[in-house]
Amino acid sequence: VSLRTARLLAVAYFLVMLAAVVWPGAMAASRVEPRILGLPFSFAWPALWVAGSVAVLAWLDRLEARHRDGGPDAPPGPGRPGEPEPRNGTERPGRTGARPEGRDGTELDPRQAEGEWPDSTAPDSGPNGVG
Amino acid sequence: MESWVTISLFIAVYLVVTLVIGLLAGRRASASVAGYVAADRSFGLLVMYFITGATVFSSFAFLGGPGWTYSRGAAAFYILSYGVLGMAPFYWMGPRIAALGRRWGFVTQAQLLRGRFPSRGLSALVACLSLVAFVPYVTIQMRGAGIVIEAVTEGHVPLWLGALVAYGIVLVYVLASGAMAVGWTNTFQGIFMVAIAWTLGLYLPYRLYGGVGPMFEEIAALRPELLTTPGLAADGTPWGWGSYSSYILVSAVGLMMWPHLFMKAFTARDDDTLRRTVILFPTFQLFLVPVFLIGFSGVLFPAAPPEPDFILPFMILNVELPTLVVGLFCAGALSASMSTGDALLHAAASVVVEDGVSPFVELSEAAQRRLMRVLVVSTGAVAYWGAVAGGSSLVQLLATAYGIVSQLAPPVVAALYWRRATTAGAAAGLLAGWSAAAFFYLAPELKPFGIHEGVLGLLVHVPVLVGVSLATEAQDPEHTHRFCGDVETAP
Repeated sequence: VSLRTARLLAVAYFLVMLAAVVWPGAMAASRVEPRILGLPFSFAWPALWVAGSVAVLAWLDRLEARHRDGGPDAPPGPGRPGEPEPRNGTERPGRTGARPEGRDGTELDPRQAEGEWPDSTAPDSGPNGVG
Repeated sequence: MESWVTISLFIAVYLVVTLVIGLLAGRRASASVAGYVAADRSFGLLVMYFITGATVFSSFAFLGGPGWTYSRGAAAFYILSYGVLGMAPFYWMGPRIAALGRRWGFVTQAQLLRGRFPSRGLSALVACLSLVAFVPYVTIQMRGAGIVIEAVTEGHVPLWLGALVAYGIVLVYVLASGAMAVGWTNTFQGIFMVAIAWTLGLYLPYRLYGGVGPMFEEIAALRPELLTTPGLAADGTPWGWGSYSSYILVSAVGLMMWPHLFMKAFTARDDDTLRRTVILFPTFQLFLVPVFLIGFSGVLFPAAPPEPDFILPFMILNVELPTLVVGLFCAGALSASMSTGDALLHAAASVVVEDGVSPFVELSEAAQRRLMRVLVVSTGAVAYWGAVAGGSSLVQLLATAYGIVSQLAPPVVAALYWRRATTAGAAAGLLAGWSAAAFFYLAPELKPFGIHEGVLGLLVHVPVLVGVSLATEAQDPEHTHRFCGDVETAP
């Protein structure tokens, strides 16, 4: 599946979910039977859509990550919470540096344009890129 | 020892642990505004997951959710439906917002808006209305904490004192440590909330009915009207589909526009952290399932609490649980309240200073931090006054607050994705949207199909934003490219 298709499918899932949990979708699901794990169907219905969204987003993220890294080496599933992979630590400063910092110049900086924002919140004051 | 004394001791221990975590966390933050407001953009996945979950789910979900299921049945399912819909767009928007934050030093939502639409008036307007939306939200959290403490100590610690002590502690760590404290205490509190909700939500139906299935069989036999959406209105008559659906819509649109949640995008360490926070959020959200089960378990219980919102502590106290479990429950309920209340207080102060004051008055870093602290205390004081003075209309106020914050969605989306949007268009849209929402709030009988005033506001807002933008001169392409272009985040 191409990344573009995957994104469209993910967006489509959430649009269908929206239609499913409000009128008229929810009206069709508004009944007690069949019960799922003991829950009335009207209750299980939104819960199932919520659970499904985890799978959809995790699947999309695998594809997105593979695409970002340009290779099959790093599909970071959600099963590894906590610390970011070292890959990010090395990758981000490169990407940050690659942004056209100098091109726009201070004149076009939206904050500098008004000339009154504190310098301490300047773009490079944060520890971005420190992996 | 009487059980309420034991429970009070348990609460005291819990509060002390929270305080210690909050104060220790602050020692890791730098003394800058970015440190106080955005925790130096340092949070990893574990902290972001619990911050997001614990901040979204407050006393409204933990006490109000069971209260709604108990009194209004399936109407409460709207709370389960909107969270994911509101969070999902952040999979794409979050990293873009974070990148702009790193690039231009934004730490609040209005700074981002003002970056794209340079107008100090717009920024001040957003700050003022955010504050208006925040106060009733904080009030609900304080009342929630007070209700729980009063109920489980059998009235020995009244609402005013319980709320005062709990929020005194919140104030101390928010004042001392800012976003860093909010993050780490929320992690602790989030774990508590989830564990308690699942344990009690499965235990109560088992204890009272022999299981979840048998419980719903009995309810289906005796009160079937509670089990079909859209459930009941507050007065016990059937609720309308227009209201049910539009509550979901306005909450989904408004959810991530709450400044205290939006600002979390600026606290994440990197984009992967943000994306995975969004992916995992639904797993946190499913904790509403056991929370609703607690509410349903009270439906056929012979006695009734004084108000529906008391159903959770009421059930806990009436099924004769061990004192330890009651104490744990209190900690969970206080967690729900405090983890949202601290983020709200912190965000309210940050927003007012960064967006309402800084654009007009030159302030040093130290002065900004000092002013934020003054504002945390004064916002807390106003909300506390509301909590103690009582307020049966608070849930209605929160719904109205959603009407206010949901109007922030069109300008934010336009700022990030629509190059043709102009400052005049954004300002006109906001004014039109807020006016329309206020109008329908004041004249509810004019609302078609009972649709939430926030949705009606959006229906006015978006055409005005588009129309005025197209009628005014486009922004410099260089300028719009820096917000809408692909350079920052797209793969």
